[in-house]
Amino acid sequence: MNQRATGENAVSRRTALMGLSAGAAAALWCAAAVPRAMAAGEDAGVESASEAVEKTQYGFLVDTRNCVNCQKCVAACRKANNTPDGTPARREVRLFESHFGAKAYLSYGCMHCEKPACAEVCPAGAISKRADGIVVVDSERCIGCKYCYQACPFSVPHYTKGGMDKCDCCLGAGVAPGDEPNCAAACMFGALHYGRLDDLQSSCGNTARKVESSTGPSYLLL
Amino acid sequence: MTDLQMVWGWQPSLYLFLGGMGAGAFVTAALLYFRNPERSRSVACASSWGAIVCLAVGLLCLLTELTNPLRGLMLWQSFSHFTSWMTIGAWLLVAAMAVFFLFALLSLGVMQTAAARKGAKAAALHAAILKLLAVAGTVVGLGVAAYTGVLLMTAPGVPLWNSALLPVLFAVSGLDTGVALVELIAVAKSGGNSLEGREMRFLEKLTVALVIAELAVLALFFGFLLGQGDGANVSAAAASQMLLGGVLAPAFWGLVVVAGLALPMTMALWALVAHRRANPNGFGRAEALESGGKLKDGQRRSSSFIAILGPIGALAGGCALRFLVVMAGIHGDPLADAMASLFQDAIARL
Repeated sequence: MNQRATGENAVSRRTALMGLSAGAAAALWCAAAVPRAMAAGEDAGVESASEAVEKTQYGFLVDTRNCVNCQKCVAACRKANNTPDGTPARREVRLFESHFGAKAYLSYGCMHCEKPACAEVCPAGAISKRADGIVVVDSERCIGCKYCYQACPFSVPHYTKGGMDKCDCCLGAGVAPGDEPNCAAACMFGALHYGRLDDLQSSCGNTARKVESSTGPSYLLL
Repeated sequence: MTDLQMVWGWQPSLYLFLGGMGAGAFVTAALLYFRNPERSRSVACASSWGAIVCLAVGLLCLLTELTNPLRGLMLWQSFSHFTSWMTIGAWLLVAAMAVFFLFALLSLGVMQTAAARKGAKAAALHAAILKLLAVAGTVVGLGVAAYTGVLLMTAPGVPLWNSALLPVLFAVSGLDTGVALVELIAVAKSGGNSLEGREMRFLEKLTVALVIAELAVLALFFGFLLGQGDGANVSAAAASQMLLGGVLAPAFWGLVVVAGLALPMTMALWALVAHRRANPNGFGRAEALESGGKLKDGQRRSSSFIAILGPIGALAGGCALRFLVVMAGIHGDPLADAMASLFQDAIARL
């Protein structure tokens, strides 16, 4: 991942320098598109070679029967990811009510979708889905156009001075991809679980309901 | 749920409006040029400069909305991901500006005289190149006008926008506002005498046709949205209600429908009827003026005022349409749907 990022940056710096001298943007575009296409080819190689992660998808399972809105997951998320006061956290607990007055809380954040609409619409290519299924933002590339917010069915992306901000399963906070992120670790009531999606589903005897959307959210509900 | 969409502020709305209007203005200019290369050249030239300004200001608007405008300025890096319609559109705008610029430059009066001075061959080549640029610009221009709708259509988070009719609506409205801009430019250049009467009649007929088309597309657009009732379409229906009968309704009916559609159509029809009454033989106002019927200053001013009233209404309506559609772009709520199913599961288990 790191290698790939530096490789791409080197390319864009080169094209950036080329761009300074040229006025014709169309010519520039061609010049930039060729090395970028080559870089994309390299990416594919890196991804297929990377470890033995075949179609892993990490995700969350929320047992809404256990969630009591204690906000510990939100606080842990804020702390781990240094979310400043006044900036929305990457996780939120929302109250839902049924027609018959039943109430349930749901802790949610980025759904790490199978086909992330945010990544597809990003003009800068700043959002990518890793081989382990985690959707991450490259803040070095993000220009903050907010198109990903409009694309996300769950209104998840929000914006700070540094660009788009959302859950990365605490990768940025130093948690290894397979390990429990801080929110799930902070849950005292067994409501918020993290893991491989198929493991999560089998842990509850395949009774969890998947959140439905064209983007294929990796989020299970009980 | 019924809060307005505020994450995108005024800049993207203005970008969509200016993109559509600029593209529409060039398409109108190209049409005029094709109909009458000699008499319409100067208006077509001025209109294509206007179109370039529209697209450039539009792109600048898009860039100022960014949280990182400086990085955004490096278009070749920031707009390099071609699954995104924002990327495709940004380069479409750049391509359109390049073609419009070549047309605007070559259609300048000095270029015309320079080519003519070099002989008949050079003049013919000059005319052929201009026609080629007009065709190319029309193609790219139509692409830009439709793209402004595609940009919204391809954001799956907002059900109101996920309609294939939105690009059609924005394209028709883009052409409509483009015609209005060209009319204003023609009036600004020597009070409307810069275009032959026949060409002004053409623009008026075009206005009537486009208004009718836009009304039809608007009706279909809202008809489809209101006709559906479940799932993601609940929020699309709610957004439509907001526009047609809610907080945005006064602006929608007042600006988009009355000022943007009814007023230009009335003015255009009135001008067409008045013209037919005054000149049953088919002479335009310009010919009437040329054949000695001089207008007094006051008369000219009042006739200019009448001539710009329709186009100004059309521009206000077209601008309002983009702002209102962007503001009404409330998100769907698939989480609420998922939780509703969960509640039903719980009842079923009881």
